[in-house]
This record gives sequence, structure tokens and C-alpha cells, in this order.
Amino acid sequence: MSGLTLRSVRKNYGDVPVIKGVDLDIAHGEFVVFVGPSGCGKSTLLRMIAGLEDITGGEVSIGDRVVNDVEPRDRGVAMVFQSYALYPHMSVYDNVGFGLKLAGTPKAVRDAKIRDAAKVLQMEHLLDRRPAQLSGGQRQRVAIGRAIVREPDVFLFDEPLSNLDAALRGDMRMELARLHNDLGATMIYVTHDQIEAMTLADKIVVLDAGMVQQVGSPLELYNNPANLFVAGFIGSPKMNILQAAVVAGADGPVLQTEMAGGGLAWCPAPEGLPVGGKVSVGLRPHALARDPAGPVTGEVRLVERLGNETLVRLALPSGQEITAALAGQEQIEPRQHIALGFGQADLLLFGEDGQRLTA
Amino acid sequence: MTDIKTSPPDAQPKPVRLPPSRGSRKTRMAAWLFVAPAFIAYAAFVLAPLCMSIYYSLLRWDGIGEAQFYGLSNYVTVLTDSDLLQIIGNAFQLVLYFTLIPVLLGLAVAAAIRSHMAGRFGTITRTVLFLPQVIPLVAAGIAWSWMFASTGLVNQTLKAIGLSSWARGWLGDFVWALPAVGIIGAWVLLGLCTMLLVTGITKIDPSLYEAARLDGARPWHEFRYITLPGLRQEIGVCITVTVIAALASFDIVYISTQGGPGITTTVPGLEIYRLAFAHRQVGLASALAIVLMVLVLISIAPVQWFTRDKK
Amino acid sequence: MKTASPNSLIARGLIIVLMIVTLLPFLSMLSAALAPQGTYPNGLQWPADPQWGNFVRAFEVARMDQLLLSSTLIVLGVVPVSVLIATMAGYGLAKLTSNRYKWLYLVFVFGLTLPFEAVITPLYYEVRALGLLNTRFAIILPLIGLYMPFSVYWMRAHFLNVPHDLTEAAQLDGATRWKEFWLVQVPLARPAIMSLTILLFLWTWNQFLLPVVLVQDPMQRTMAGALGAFQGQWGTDIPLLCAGSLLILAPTVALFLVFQRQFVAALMQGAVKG
Ligand SMILES: Nc1ncnc2c1ncn2[C@@H]1O[C@H](COP(=O)(O)OP(=O)(O)OP(=O)(O)O)[C@@H](O)[C@H]1O
Ligand SMILES: [Mg+2]
Repeated sequence: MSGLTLRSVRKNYGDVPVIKGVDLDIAHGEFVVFVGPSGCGKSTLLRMIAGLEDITGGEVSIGDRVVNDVEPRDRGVAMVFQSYALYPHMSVYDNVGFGLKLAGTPKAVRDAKIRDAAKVLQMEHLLDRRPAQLSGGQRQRVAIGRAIVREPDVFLFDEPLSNLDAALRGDMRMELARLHNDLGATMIYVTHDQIEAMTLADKIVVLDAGMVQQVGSPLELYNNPANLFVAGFIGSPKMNILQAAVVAGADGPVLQTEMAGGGLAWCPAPEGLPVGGKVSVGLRPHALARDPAGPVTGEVRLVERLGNETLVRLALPSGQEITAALAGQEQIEPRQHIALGFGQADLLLFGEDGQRLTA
Repeated sequence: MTDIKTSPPDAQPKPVRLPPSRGSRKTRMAAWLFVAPAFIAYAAFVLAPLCMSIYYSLLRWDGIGEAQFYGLSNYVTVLTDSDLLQIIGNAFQLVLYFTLIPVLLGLAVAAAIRSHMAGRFGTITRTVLFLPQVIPLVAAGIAWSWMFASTGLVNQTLKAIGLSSWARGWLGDFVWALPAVGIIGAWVLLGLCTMLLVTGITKIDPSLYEAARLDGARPWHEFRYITLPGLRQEIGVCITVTVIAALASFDIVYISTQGGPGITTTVPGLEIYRLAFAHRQVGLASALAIVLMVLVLISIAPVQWFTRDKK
Repeated sequence: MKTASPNSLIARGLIIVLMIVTLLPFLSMLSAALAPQGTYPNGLQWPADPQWGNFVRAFEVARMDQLLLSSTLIVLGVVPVSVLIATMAGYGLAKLTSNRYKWLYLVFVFGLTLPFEAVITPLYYEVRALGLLNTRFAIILPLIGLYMPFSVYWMRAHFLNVPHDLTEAAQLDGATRWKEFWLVQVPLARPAIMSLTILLFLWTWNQFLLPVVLVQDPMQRTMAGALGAFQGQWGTDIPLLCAGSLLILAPTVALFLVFQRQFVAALMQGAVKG
């Protein structure tokens, strides 16, 4: 069993806190993805797990061993770098086998392992080449191969696909998913790319400013974001956020937004919200659909036709712009006025502190 | 509005990655261990002697007997004694020859050639011009002592072109010995400077010259406003190297003139050697050594400042 | 630049003049070296009866075989050690880049402009105290120290350009610092090490001040140092002196001609960085 536990892990660079107390439990064999805006500390956290970065406070355990003071090489982790970090002076074969050689693995065993890994990654024909003679995708394979042969308990990936073009990224993504299936090892993966995060992860960890915002499966995060940050971060196009006030209605408090200009009250407020309070209303672009009687009306500013769906940028009478992703190929032109509707259940409410309000 | 489609929420430019001071305490420990042997060697044979030099410079000591504390008197001597001042002045006169000749000639060649020296001609040029850098300075000194000798090539040439009255024993001449020594240094450094400047000029974007010509620039303007600024770094390198070679010269003078006639060609390096090991004035020699070190530093500092900072 | 513009003709002319000026002293020495023994030759004049035997005599008089051996021993004592410890230090300093450690680097850099004359007097007493006066170690040990500023500076500049990721990848691959250094860093540093080796070889071989001050016996000196003694002894016999000088500078020139490209590159970079 080699899960991974972080207990109030902290990291300061000088006086600047970069990781501000992270708690995390990762089970054996899980595929965990760290996402978050640039500079939020994803790489730092990953490197602390790898042992490349001192831990200012807290505890990192791999399996049931606290590894704070264990050298990277003794932690049973392997890492794939964004830059690949292949040794330029060694052949692919030697790059992949370097770790085994250092560990004193007998030559025959080493050779078998290298060839196995090459077969898994379909790079047997590349073994004699130097890294300089490889394409980006091939280098990526070699970097992964180097990680595989060490048979680590935990694989760490820091934006491994970000230097590849879109098509190759798609292929490698599927290959990584397959690899995870085959090896069954714990994998921690840092990325900027939502699609990578959503498709690969068993569990996504959303970080912001050195703190965990939410941990959960991709759909959990999509359906039930814990706060405005996660709501805005997960899902694309981005969730629309509208300001609403709680006002007194005929049957108790209702939410009123500026959406319809005149101030239309269109949903009963959840219990416990005092009249006069303010909330943020989140509405996913995909929750909107054309509905002549719908409450959301406005002027079309921009239309993007993707074939399977139509993205519409709509200016509300208040001036705020929202995005709608309409299924199929809608006949809509800019400057046209349209009305959109949505289901009650698709509304997500957030309090003034940004935390989710559950009804 | 392209971010409507797949807005990665963090498509802002990435923060600038700080230099890799990343790394653990253990990394730093290991780094110290790697530096240690070099530092010990450096400390034992440079830093310690340097401190001793400073210490000796405060003494009156013949190197054998009792040393007396002498305060700053040695420095006062160095900065007031007319012979020593002349010796220091000699070094600065040498700078004129060691620096100006190679840099000006190098600039002329570079400005004229303004392209890469490729092919066989380039290889031959490089090989020949670097020869003086490869041989010991002592050999250069001997070769030129012979050139400047009364039956040497210089006089031979002068006689051949009808200037026999100019012929003389150059290195024994009170007026001409120092310039002659300067010529030797210029000869040694000429090739290096030329090659540095020629290489530097090939790095200047040729379209700059074309643009300047379209703007109506004369050759002189091109040189003044494109070549010179473009070569600032290389010129800085040449000046640095040649100034150090001039101020700290020893080998050439030792071989060609022994500092004579009189002290007309004596330089600080040679005088330190004489004072310490012939005249047994270790304190004075050390004070001169420290002054020499400081002179080199303050001569080089402005050059470095001028040529490196403003990029 | 295929078409020779008037400009490049002028340039060629200038360069050819420079080359002639560079070569004349050598030719003049050669013509003198071939003159009959005991005569006063003229500057540049092909002797009627070239005395190639002068070289043989100079070889014997200067005891060139022993000089070669001595210089080689000194180079072997200085260069490998200097390159090794400078490479290590360059690597270490490249890892200590934060402001807290900057002083260490600056201490090394300070030595870059230090004239050897500034420390030669105390070095004499230090070497004497170590009991090494008049041995080759009197040259070898101080030179190692004196070369450190440049060598360390040089190697550090190289290691700063090696991606930090490689170090980390090696660490994760299970390499100790020492193994990483030898198996990853040193192979990658080969060009820089090569240039440094060439420069240190030249500077050692041609070193003059230290042998003159610290070693009396010419047979324990470097080539250049021995040449000083040779001149002192045979300075009046011009043919012999010139023949000896040519012999003494022959080894480096021969090496230079063979490795012309590497030498030129090393000397140019050496100047730029130094
Ligand atoms: N060596 C360092 N010294 C000081 N601060 C640092 C250092 N390295 C990183 N930081 C800071 O730590 C924070 C987190 O950096 P980190 O590299 O973990 O971000 P990230 O989430 O991986 O970003 P990206 O998505 O751009 O890779 C950043 O604000 C960064 O500026
Ligand atoms: Mg990162």
C-alpha cells in the first residue's frame, strides 16, 4: 500500500508563504490532478512530495513512512518534468536505464526492463538515438519510460504535455490513462489544461494561493463547486456569475437579479437568507437553452459556431455579458434579441464570502 | 473574445520563474563540499599570500632578520619616491602601446572586413594571428630583442629605405627603449584583439548598415554610430586584457631590457622582484605590489562599467 | 562575400600586412639561427650555408629533453588537478546562486585581475616554509591556487547554463551528488573542460615569473622559465640563442597547429570571460 498523506504542509520562500497548510489523502492507485491558476503553488507542492524542495512545516508521508527528511532517491517516487530533463549525452536506452544502473541492477535484468518499458511506450526503434534526435512526443515517451522502469510507488507529472501540440496532447493523454490502468500506480499530475484534468483524474485538487479550495471527483467539482473560485475555475466556457439581492416576495423572500433590467424576481430564495442580503448566482453556459418565454433576455454580441454547439455572448439589459452554450446549430445573428431559459436546479448560489449556499 | 470557447481560467502570462535557488539544505551542504577544494587552494596560494603582502607592506624587513613595524611609510615612499613614480608611469605609458595599437588596428581591420573570415584564408589568418598568444612571452621578448638589435631586422629595414641615420640599438636607447618594449607587447596582443573585434563585428546585424545607408549615412557615420556601439563589449574585453597585460608586465621587460637603460623601462612587476629579492626591501616591494593591484583594479573598473552595464 | 568589393580588398591587404608583421620576428629568428656559429648575422638574410646543426647544438646545450620532461611534469601536476577542483567548484557555485552566497563567488572573481606579482613575495616565503623551494612543487602548488579565479569563473558560467531539471532528474533517478557530478554534469561540461584544459596548459607551459623566483635550477622549471636562464647564459651567441628559442617554443606551436580550431576558440572565449 502506498498511498500518500499530506498533513498541514507549508512552504515559505524566505518570508513569503507559498503553500499555506495543505491536507490531502491520496489512496493507492489513485490518479490525482492538481489544478489552479499560475503561481498558485502546484509545482511547489509536487516538488515537496518529490523531495526536491524543503518542507517548511507539516508532514508528507508516502505509504506509512514520513518522508520529510528522506532523500528524493529513497522516496520511491519518479517524476516526469515539463522540460523532460533527458540527459543529452546519453542514448534513449541509457536515459531509461540510468536509474537502474545507479541502483546496481544486473545488466540482464536492466536490459529486460528497459525493453519492456520501450515496448509499452512503443519506442523500441528509438533506443539508440540521442534525445536531440527525437521529436517532442518521443522525448515525452522517453521521460515517461525513465519513470516507469524504476517501478515507483508514486508517479509525479509536472505539466508533462504542455510542450506538445494539441493533437499529440490528445494522444498522450489517452496513453497516460492506459498506463495508469496497466500499472495501477498512484499518479499525481499537475496541469493547466481542464480537459486533461477532467478526463484523467480520479480526484481533482483545486489550489489557489497555496490553499486547497476543493477536492473531489471531476463531476463533483463540476456539479457541486464548493465556492466561487472552483465554480469559475472548473468547466468551460466559464460559469456565468450574476449578483442578486434577496428581497421580500409574496411567498417569502425571493432572489432578484438585474438580469431582466427591470428587476425580475424569479426564484424563491433558500431558507435562512435574510431579506436585504446579497448573493452570487452561478449559471453554467450549458444550462441555458432557447426559450421564448425565458427570463434571460438580451442582445447578442458574438456568435461562435462550433458545429455541435453554438456559443453566444449575450449582453443583458444591465450591460453585463453572459455566455450561453446552445446545443446544435442555432440560427442566431449578432444584434438579434433573444430569450433564454434554464432549469431551477441549475442555479448555484454563493454567499458574500464566496462559499456555496446549499438549499 | 476567443476565451469564450475554452477559457483556461489562467491564460495570463506565467509569473517569471525565479532563478533556481530552489533546493534543499542538503543541496547547499553538498555544494559547499564541492567548492571546498578549490577554495582551499585559492585561500592557501592567493588569499593568504595577499594578506601577507598587506602585512609585509607595513614592515621594514630585509627578509632575514628582525622585522620592524613601519606603518604606512612604505606606501608613502611608493607614492613620493621619484624613481618609483617613474616606474609606475612607465607602466601607464606601456598601456598606450599595449592597448591603443592593437585596438585601433583591430578596429580598422574589423571595420574594413565587416564579414566572417571563412574558408582557407580565414583559417590561415586565425592561425598566424594567434601565434604570439601561444608562445611564451619570454620567446616574444627574445625574438624582438633580436629584431631591435643593432644588426637586427628593424635597422636593416631602415637602412634599406635610406634612413640609416635612424638606425640605433633600440632597446639600449634612453628615449626609444620604452616604446620598443611597447611595440613588443602590441605585437603579442594584436592578433587576439583583431580576431575578437572581427568576430564581434560579424554579430552586428547587417541590415543596420543598410538602413543607415538608406538614411544617408557616410562610411564615417556608419563606423561611428553602428560599428563602435555594436563592438562596445568586444572593445571592453580588448581594453581589459591589454591594460592588465601592460600594468602587470614582467616577462617581456625582464628578457628584453632588464628595465634599462637606467630605469627607463622598469615596470612595477620587475621592480617588485628586484626590491624583494635583490635589494631585500620586502616591505617596500609588498607596498608596491599592493599599489599595483589597486591600480589594476581601478583601471579596469570603469572599462567594465562602461562596456557591460548599458546593454 | 563572394565578390571582392574594394573594401574587402583593403581589408585583405591590411590583414596580410598584419600577418607579415606577425611572422617577421619568427623568420628573422630562423635566419639568425641558421647563421654560422659565433658570427653576427643580419636581421633577415638567408645564410649561404644554413647551419641546421645549430639546432642540434641548442638541443644539447639547453638539454631540451630534460626541459620537455620537466615542463610536462609541471603541466601534469597543475592542469588535471586545477581542472578537476575548478569543475567541482563551478558546479557547486552554480548551485549557490542566492544572494546569501554571492560573496563566495565574488571572492573568487576578485582574483581575476590580480597580478601574480602582487603575491609573489609572500609566495616565496610560503614555499620556503613548506620546504619546497627549488622543486617543481614550488611552481605546481601556487599555480593551482592562482588559476582558481579564472577556472572557477569559467566553469561556473558553464554550469549556470545547464538546466536545473537535469540535476533533479538525476536525484530522482537515485544519483548521489557525487555520481550526478561524474555521470551527468562532467560529460555535459566536456567542451568547457576542454577549453579550460587548453588555456591552463598554455599558461603553465609559458609561465615565467614563478619559475624565475621560486626555482633556481633550470631543469626543474617550465620551458619559459628555462628559456630565461638560457638567454642569460648564451645571450651573446645569437645563432644559438635563436635556435634554442625556436626549439623551446616549438612544442606549443606544434600543438597549436594541430588543434588550431580548439586553441583559437579557447583563447577567444578565455579573453571574453576573463
Ligand atoms: N525559488 C523561489 N523563490 C521564491 N519564490 C518562488 C520560488 N519558486 C517559486 N516561487 C513562487 O512560489 C509560487 C508558487 O510557484 P509554483 O511554481 O509552485 O507555481 P505553479 O502553480 O506551478 O505555477 P505554474 O502553473 O505557472 O507552473 C509562485 O508565486 C512563485 O513565484
Ligand atoms: Mg508549475
